[in-house]
Amino acid sequence: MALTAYGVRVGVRADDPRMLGLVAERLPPGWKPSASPRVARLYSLIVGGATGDGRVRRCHLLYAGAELIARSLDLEVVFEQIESDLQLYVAERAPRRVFVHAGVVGWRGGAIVIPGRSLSGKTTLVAELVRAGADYYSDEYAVLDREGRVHPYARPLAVREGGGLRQTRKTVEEFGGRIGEVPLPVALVVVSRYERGASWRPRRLTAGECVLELLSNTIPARRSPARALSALTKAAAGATALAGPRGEAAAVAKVILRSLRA
Amino acid sequence: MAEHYRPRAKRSKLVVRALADETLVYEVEGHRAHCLNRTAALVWALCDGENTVARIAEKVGERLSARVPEEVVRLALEQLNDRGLLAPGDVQPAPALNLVSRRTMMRRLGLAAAVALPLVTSIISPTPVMAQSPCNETSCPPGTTCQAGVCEPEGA
Repeated sequence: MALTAYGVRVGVRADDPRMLGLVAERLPPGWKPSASPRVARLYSLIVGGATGDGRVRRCHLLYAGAELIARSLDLEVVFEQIESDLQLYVAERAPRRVFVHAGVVGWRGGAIVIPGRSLSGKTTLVAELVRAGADYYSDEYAVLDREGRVHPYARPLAVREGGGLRQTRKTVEEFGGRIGEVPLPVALVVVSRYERGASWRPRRLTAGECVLELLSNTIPARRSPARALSALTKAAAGATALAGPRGEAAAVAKVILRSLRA
Repeated sequence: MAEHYRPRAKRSKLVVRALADETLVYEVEGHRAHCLNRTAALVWALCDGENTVARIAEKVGERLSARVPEEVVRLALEQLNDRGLLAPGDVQPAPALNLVSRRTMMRRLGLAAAVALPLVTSIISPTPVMAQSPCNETSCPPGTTCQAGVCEPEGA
């Protein structure tokens, strides 16, 4: 199957057609089937499993072009890899959007952006902000247009439970929230990570410091620095940016929303 | 010698964006991004290979409507040089200030409130995978260490 996501054409093929439906569940939000067979990147999934006599188990293989990018007996591992690789590929090459690794919620007509890499606790904070009444936009990427507005990238939240690295997907409805639909200007940028016992006493960043923080989480920073800086500069221009360690997400979420009420 | 030093800024292969009070500079080849505060940005803009340090101090003072000592310009030049924002081969001949706390220096120089000490903040721009992934012991930029998957300032 050929598809377009954020202006990037990608192809996926599998030796078992049933797999394509499962891959489709993991594609970036808003993807569309493409009529053109020409794609920038082609994924090939070769399904393994037990041989006829059941004595040998073959690995599932995933290629991106000619490169083997996953090899596992666990099909779920292969699906996670195609999801992650395809998402990153699109995020780096999307011609009209700038992808920043960040959680995002909407609140009173503005976006709260929480930049951070994996394991920085941004999904936990996003979930608590949603529980406190904010609209869910993303726990993965702040997708900026050229005016610096944030668009929704609302996949189910990837929650780590029990302190492990494996993630479980949960819909926003499970957190009692709803998905935001319209692009929003950035109202607040929160640069933070969890620290046991910390209280939220952030310092205010300048606009330039805010752009540097966003840039250090921007996927196409090296490929398209001029475009990225333009979008980030516009995003930061009207925003307040706060930085500091935070304690429990539930308490911080309420403080953050209260601060934007004033 | 020092009074004849005419600093020249690096100008090629940069992406520059001006904010209200700061200037962002991205080095396309080294993939480093810098945020220059107003004072540092004014000094950098005047490094054209023609202006002496004294002349730069005078012009920055005019822009800020305050007296700006040459020491402030030298401090900016030292930071710009450290970050690779002066032209290759551009060597500042005079020693810079002995670095004491910024507050002490502000007092010592008797700077007006309108004149902030020059400050250049820098990061290494991430690769897509760096931007996505938690760090490890080798992936953090200088001055930071990886703590629980996140690059934190050393000693934090």
